[in-house]
Amino acid sequence: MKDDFKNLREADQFMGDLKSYKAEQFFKSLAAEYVDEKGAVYQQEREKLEPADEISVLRLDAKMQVALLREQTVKTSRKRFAGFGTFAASLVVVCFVAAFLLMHGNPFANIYSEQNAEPAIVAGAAEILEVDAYMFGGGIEWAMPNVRIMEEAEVAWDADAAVAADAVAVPDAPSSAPVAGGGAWVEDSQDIWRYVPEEADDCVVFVIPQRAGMQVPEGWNSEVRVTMDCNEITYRFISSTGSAVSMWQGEPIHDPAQGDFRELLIGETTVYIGTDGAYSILFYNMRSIQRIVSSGRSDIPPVDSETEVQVVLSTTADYAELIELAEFWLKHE
Amino acid sequence: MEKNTFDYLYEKYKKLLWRKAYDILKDYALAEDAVSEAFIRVYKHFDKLEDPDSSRTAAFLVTVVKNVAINLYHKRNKVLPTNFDEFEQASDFNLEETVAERDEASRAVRLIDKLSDELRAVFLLKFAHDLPHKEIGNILGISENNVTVRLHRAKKKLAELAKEVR
Repeated sequence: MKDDFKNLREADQFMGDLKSYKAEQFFKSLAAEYVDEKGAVYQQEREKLEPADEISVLRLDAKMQVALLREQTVKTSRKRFAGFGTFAASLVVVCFVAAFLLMHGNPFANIYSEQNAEPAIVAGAAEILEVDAYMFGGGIEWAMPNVRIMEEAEVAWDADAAVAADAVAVPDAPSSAPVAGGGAWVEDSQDIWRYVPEEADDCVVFVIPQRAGMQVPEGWNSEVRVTMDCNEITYRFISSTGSAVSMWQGEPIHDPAQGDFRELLIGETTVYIGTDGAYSILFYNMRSIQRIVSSGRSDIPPVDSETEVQVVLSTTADYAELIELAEFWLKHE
Repeated sequence: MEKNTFDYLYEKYKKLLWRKAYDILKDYALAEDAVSEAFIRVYKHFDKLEDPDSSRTAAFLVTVVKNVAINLYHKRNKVLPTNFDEFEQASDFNLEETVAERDEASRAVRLIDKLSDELRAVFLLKFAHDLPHKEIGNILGISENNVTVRLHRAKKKLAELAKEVR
């Protein structure tokens, strides 16, 4: 195309027939040259690019993962509900809870190298799901926009950073028995609801980072509860000395002791998948060093204090799809 | 698209795309939204990427993210379409470099850059990336008819511009 006035003169000829073969060839040549040249500039720009805002990029990673997970869940839902149209599929997707974490430190070992990545992940999930997110637990030292931190009054946290990030502290949030490493846990899951601001949207996601294996009081339990419109779905985590995982919908429908949990080995990582036929839970340890425990299963050893746990909830109950999800998430370690 | 390819694409281009989106939106959170949405559209609709390292791939991804960012911008501000190349240049404007780049830019770049963002995106997806109208519509979030209309306008405008440049 460079200095190709011949072609440009031809433009005159095809002005009256933009669909002609010559016109198409002209446009193809023009477009090809454009993307080659611009693309090369973009590549150079990419190489020279100064670090973007790291927090924003972290949050982007979180959003991306949640978006991908949602996309995969959408596909699953579409397949399952093909006969019921998109409304039914959408409804299922709305009922999908993206991702939340139980961890000691950093769940995404490679992607989230910063400490306290939980708020970023929660913020990403909350934004994608268009819900308010409330975090409970100790040791949260900074907050991200759109995440309200409900923090125990006695737990030290960086108030300035939180204010700068437009986080809202709830000073008289629940107190409970202190645990190792600082912070405190909500002992009675019902307590949580007392601290949800009245102005909260209908959709609320609770994310409770738990430090696996810490000295949580016997019988401790916390709850991840999601309400969507008027349909309440409750996901409940019970953690005692081990980590039992179960799910409720209104009332218990799944007994962890009787649950259909399967153990899989993906790469070098042991993955456990549990489902009650309607919802599924996928969980695995991030560093392949320990197993995750269902307390109802005597054949699985207790969780180790060093274990880092990743939990993903999905509406799919198809093991093949869950395995695909697991593989996908594991790649992001 | 293969997940491996997608992961590679994402890691390689996420910051560039974030920058492009931020240049338009001037908002961290919206830029993140734009980039994740752009990648999801690529993930859903485009399985023909042959070489993730090529200039064409970079150009394709930038085209998509700019379109998403512009749509977000319009949605947020409820304003009529604007040419965002000005926004992009304003972020790190360098007169000497800009003049030099303008002088060195090929005729193709100078012509196509004169198209509005919405026409340019359709034109490039059609003629540079060889996508069918339906797929272009999916990626840009517009109807197939709208793709046809924009494409016609883009071609007409380019033909007129080519005459003027001559």
